[in-house]
Amino acid sequence: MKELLTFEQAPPFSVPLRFLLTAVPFGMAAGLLIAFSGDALATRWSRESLAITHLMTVGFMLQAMCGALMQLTPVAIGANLPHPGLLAWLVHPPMTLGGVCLVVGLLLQDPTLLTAGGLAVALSALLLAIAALTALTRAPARNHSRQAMRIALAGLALTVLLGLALALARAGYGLPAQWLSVGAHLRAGWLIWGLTLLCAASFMVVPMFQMTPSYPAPFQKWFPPLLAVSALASASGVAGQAGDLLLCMLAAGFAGLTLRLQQRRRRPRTDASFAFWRIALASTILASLLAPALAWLPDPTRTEVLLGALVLIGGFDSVICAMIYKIVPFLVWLHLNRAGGEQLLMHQVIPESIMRLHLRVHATALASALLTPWWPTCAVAAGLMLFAGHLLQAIALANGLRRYRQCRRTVQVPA
Amino acid sequence: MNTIKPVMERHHEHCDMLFADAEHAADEGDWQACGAQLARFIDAMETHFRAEEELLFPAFEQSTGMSGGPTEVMRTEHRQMRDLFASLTAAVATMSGDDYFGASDTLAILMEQHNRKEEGVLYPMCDDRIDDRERLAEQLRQQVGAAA
Repeated sequence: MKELLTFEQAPPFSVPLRFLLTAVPFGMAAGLLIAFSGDALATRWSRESLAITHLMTVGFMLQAMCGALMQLTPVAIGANLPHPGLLAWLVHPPMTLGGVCLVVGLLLQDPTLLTAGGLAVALSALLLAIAALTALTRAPARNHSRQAMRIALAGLALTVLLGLALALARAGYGLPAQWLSVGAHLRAGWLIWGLTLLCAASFMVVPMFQMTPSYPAPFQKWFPPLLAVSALASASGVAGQAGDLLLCMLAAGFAGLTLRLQQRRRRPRTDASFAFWRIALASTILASLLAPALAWLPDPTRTEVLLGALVLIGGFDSVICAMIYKIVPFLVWLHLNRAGGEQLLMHQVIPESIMRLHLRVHATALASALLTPWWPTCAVAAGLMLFAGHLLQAIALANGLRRYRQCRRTVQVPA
Repeated sequence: MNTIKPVMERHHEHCDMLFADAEHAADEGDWQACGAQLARFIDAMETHFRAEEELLFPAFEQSTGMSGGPTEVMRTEHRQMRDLFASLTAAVATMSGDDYFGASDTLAILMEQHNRKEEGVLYPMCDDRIDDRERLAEQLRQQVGAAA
């Protein structure tokens, strides 16, 4: 019992930071590939579209979410990951190299790269999921974020296993047909892993960042399992179109409730991070309204691409940027405060003006991406703006960390 | 039955309101009002810290035999919050909105995750493990004032 209550607080700064920093170049690479893919974005099944999707999901989203997970589980739930430094060393390199191999393998249709990338990403993600699930099971906290996080981690394991099967099949390995379902892989990734983890994080950070009321307790208790069960029913084909409709209503309900809570915030000032949140929530609602239409459209090809842009660039990219712009400056302050010496407040780590510039560039990227299915030339603007936004983010983070290192040097090292 | 968790939770809520009042004044550029609201907020927070450090934490440590661990982390976070009170006070003195919101952004996150740990783990543990919790809850209520 005693070790469960030590509230070990934050892991070493380098643990979440390496994941959060690695996410950004993947976002830049996705932008460049969008810009220079010609009309390959006309369908989600082109090699370029698959590579872009995995740059955003396995590259940007998975890395950023792992960083946030490794920070939030010990700090907010009291679930201390075992040997976080060692765990990060075991997970981060294969996840990063595996992500690169997988994307290049998808782009070039290279069986070796697809196999190596799929295996590296799957094994590293499974290792993290098992370690985090173990820590969460032993955590003393009595909150619903813990339950949601456990469901999300199970969703991550399912997503990477389904993805590995698809990668191996693409590489030429003969696998049973029932293991190969893009629909199940997509639903597990978007809903059980992505959206449930976003819920778990939102239950903690939405009231924390803006001092909003908490999500209603019954919602916190029942929403994540309901979402996961619905996604499983939908992915297995049991629930049919009604299941997909329910999933869309759930996703829209979560986004709508979060917007409502943010309207009731106590803090008066809205910053760039808050605006990124708003874009993410509006995109989620739009995607949830649009997705049910796919079944009735004679040719859903364009709408599928639009949906992908809404979910990946409008939804997850936006909300991850919102979190990075709060989490990294806060961690800089926290670790400098612990070390003693010169302190930096959050706005001194990443200036609000840079975040606002990124916000405007990101909004332009999203707007251009939403036009791309009908005006393919907009892909160039969308890709270049996405690249530019993440480049700005990389520069802002690099400058913030340079200031952090300068301040650390002012700390007296004991003889 | 009078227990510790609701008393302390209500006082967290009260402190959050005072924090937001001070931020509203800063947002409107009314530094005189901000200074007065900030003083009320810091006073309420110091009262809360004293109640925990002088009454609650010693009772928890005595009941569980754990002198380090969670209460030590909570004390460290109280010190960190006090550092930020100083930054806020300095920002009011120089009437710098950027510095005020830089410090209040940091404090809001620190304070909310601190409260989450107390409300999610420490206070329920106190209610479970401290024998004379009803008397202690009443003492805490008296110390933190009518807001709880």
